[in-house]
Amino acid sequence: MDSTGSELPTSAWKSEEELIEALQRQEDDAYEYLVRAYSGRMLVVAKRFLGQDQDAQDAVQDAFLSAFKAIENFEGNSKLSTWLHRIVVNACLMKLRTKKRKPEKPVEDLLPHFSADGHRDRAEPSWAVTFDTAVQSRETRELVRQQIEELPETYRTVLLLRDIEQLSTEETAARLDMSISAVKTRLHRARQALKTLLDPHMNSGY
Amino acid sequence: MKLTCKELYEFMGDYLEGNLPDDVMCVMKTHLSRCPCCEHYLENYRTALRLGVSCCNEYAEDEVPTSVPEPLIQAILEARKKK
Repeated sequence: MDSTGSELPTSAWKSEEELIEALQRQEDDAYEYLVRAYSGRMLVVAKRFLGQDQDAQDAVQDAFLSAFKAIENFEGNSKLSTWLHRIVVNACLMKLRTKKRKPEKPVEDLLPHFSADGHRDRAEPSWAVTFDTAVQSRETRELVRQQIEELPETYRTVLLLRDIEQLSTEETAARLDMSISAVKTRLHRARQALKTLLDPHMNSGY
Repeated sequence: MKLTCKELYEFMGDYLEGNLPDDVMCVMKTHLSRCPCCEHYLENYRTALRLGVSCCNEYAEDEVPTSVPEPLIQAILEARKKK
């Protein structure tokens, strides 16, 4: 067994349904398998929301404890991985709500600036690197994820919920207790900031 | 109706989602066809968005660690027994 989030070994449980049944029977080895198999990918999600610190590990632990409580009623309407993903996102949002906010870097430095007549203050070149080229490079993919982590927390959270988790604007607003217009504004700023952070790399053409 | 570059930037999110009234969409398209700066910005903005989604979703497996801290796994299993 490993902790990489790999698919179920056929030698242990022949299908996800069997694993779920074992969990519902409270079998210890099924729980250990669940934690070892899925904690890696849950930690990835938690780190996106909460950064690299202890908070991410705490959120994963909270998420598993919620999952253990809820597994009895899990009807298999979604894949186990999807279900656990949703639970860890909820745990992250709960952590964000309760954790003490650190002062954020202002996002304004990462936004475009305009002259008094409403024109951009500098020319905008088309990126030298295309999407297809960029996405094929593991190094670039890592860089993109790092730059998302660099976004100020309140902007990053909105971008993660709307663009990455693909929640609707309305659902994002409800989850973050924000107005719909605030979600839209923050999402737009977050995307603009991400674009600015990617500029040096994407303009360099490697 | 005319839009400055600054005004156009504010509508970009809604423009990409097709959430603008037809007349505003039309004004934006005209502006974009005449302003390379805005056209490039929109294209780069859209690429940044696509990269974010793709790198975190389609390529999510890149990030999954080869091992998770054993103390975390043990803490979760211990916490279950205490419940």
